[in-house]
Amino acid sequence: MTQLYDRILGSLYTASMGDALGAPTETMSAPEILHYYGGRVEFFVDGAVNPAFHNARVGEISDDTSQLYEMAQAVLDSGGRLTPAHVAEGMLRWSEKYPRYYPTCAGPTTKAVIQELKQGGDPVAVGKFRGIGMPERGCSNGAAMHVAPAGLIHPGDPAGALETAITMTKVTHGTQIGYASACAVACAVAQALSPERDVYAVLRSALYGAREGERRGMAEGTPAPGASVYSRLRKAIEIVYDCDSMEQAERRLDQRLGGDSSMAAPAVSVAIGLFAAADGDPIKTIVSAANVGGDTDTIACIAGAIAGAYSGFSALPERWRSFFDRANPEIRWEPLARGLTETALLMR
Amino acid sequence: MGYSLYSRIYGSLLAAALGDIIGGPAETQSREEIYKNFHGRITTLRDGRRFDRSTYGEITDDTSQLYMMGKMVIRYDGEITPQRAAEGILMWADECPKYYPQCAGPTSRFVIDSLRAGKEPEEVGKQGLRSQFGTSNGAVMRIAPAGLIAPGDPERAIQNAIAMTKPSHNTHQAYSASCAIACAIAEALTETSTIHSVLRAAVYGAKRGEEIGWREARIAPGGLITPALLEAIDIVYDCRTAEEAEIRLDRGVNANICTARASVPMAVGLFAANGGDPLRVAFSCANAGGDTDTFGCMAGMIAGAFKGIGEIPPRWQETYKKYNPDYDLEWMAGELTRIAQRFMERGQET
Repeated sequence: MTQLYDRILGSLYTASMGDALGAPTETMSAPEILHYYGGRVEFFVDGAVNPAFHNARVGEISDDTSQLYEMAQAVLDSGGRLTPAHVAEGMLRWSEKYPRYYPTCAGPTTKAVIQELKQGGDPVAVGKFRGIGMPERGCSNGAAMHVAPAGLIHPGDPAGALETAITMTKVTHGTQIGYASACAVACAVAQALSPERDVYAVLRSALYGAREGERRGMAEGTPAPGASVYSRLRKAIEIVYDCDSMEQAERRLDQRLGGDSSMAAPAVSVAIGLFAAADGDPIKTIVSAANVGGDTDTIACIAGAIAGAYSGFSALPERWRSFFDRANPEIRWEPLARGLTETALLMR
Repeated sequence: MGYSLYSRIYGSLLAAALGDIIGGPAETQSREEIYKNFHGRITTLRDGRRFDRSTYGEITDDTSQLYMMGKMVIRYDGEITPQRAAEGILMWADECPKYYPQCAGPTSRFVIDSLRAGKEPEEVGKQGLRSQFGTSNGAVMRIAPAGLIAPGDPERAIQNAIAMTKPSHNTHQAYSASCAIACAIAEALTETSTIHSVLRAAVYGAKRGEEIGWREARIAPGGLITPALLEAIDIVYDCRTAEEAEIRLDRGVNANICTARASVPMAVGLFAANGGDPLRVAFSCANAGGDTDTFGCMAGMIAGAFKGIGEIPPRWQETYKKYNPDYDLEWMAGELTRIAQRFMERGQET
């Protein structure tokens, strides 16, 4: 119980610290980050120089963490038996509870989905709807950034994580790209919680999630255009093993796989690649993600969810935890982590 | 059970020997021929004499060479030089009439003649003008001691591996191959090792060895080890099962000759695909086709160092001892552990 609780709490903390660390650099390229911040961002900074920044306090979370929070709540409300209705309720709750992040921070898919849900649309039908003239719908990274709780209640059980991740993703990102990216993250998180810690096993689990998620998305969701998440993820892993240092991995992952928008395939492949390049170290992972360029807060949030599950809360430096707590008085992960731990133990 | 360096070192030596023993009968056959000739997959000890290969339960040139290198390392208390490594190679030729010259590979055979004639070891390893000279896998199959006395210390493993490789395989490919396996072993021995960290150590060694080779070694014909190793890792991640990995590694990176460029990626790939479990690794290597005993020996060095003796069923220890009484791996493990610990203590002082 205590070890699993420590890992689950670590995942939630590291994901949200990644979000807060990366928000000030979001939309910037790696050289722009160096230029605007006078060097690498290695601790929480003020993002005032970034026009895309949501005018937050230093160390404050953004849409990623607040959605993650509401999805964790939805999983708890469902007692681990998540339904599309719980997810839709959670997304609507998010849009009402956080005027600081909604609608300003909402991504292209999430914004449309929430509007349609508010108009009374059926959750699964809304998730599958792509319409015309919106190529990115269902393929952006919203599902991947809030999916971690689907993995947290299935420690060491990627197959269980996959099912919960699919239920969660159906409502917002009902394409094979949405499914694959969310399942890759959820399965990685589930495997990272396992007592035998091996980055190799976590990467294999992520690939399993991407492959199965893609297959299920093609069958049950709406096929969308775009490269396979599985192939991008494989590429990321290949790049990482060929790199001699963390900095080189960061540069190459960005240059070969990075995105200039909030698409899921680049965010997930770069995030998981950085986790592997950092050998699972949580602070190294999120610092690298905050400096990699592009959708940095989401990349750091995803990578942090995995690295935190891998290392645990107790591995996080006190300086980071206390700064984050002071900057985010409204986020209290302990009760949610306790609830998720209890749910995880019941699911076994 | 707590961590024990002795258990890891003994595990490495025994798993290497078992990989050699289990893979020996199938050597030189393709995967398809193995399935035909052995009436299905090899899942137990077999006798290879029918195919002019090793007898039931007995090691071959791989383990016997490894053993002689181990003896040399112990004799010189872990201080390895190319001259001393040459002595180890000659010890094998003199003390193992069962395996020399009939089992010697394309490089070792010529090297031994030249060393006996008193030629300078480093120059001997640089002789070329023969197909496969210096790029075959002889130096790698006996490399284990280079990594075993350097737990968690890749730089020392590299230094040892290159000194051991110079007198026979003084080429950039062989440096790369030897350092890849030696670094993988050195990392696998640590308490915190994971399959991921072992794979990264192997790639690191392959790159560093190659880099040193470009400066110091003979540049031999043939492709590099590192890209083949990276391809093997990529294949393993793309495979759902160990058997799928076996087939796709064979199709993707294997060869029909005993070249290091095939055996390093095969060994490292099959180590990972089988979760590092020593016996699963050994049988996977035996069925993969090609230089099966060498794959098994090299993959076994890593797997045994990763899991320790506790993960090898006792009956396999008994089998080994019964058929190979002249090669005392427990004694060797004890001596190498002592040397490794001394280096570690010295490292902490400085």
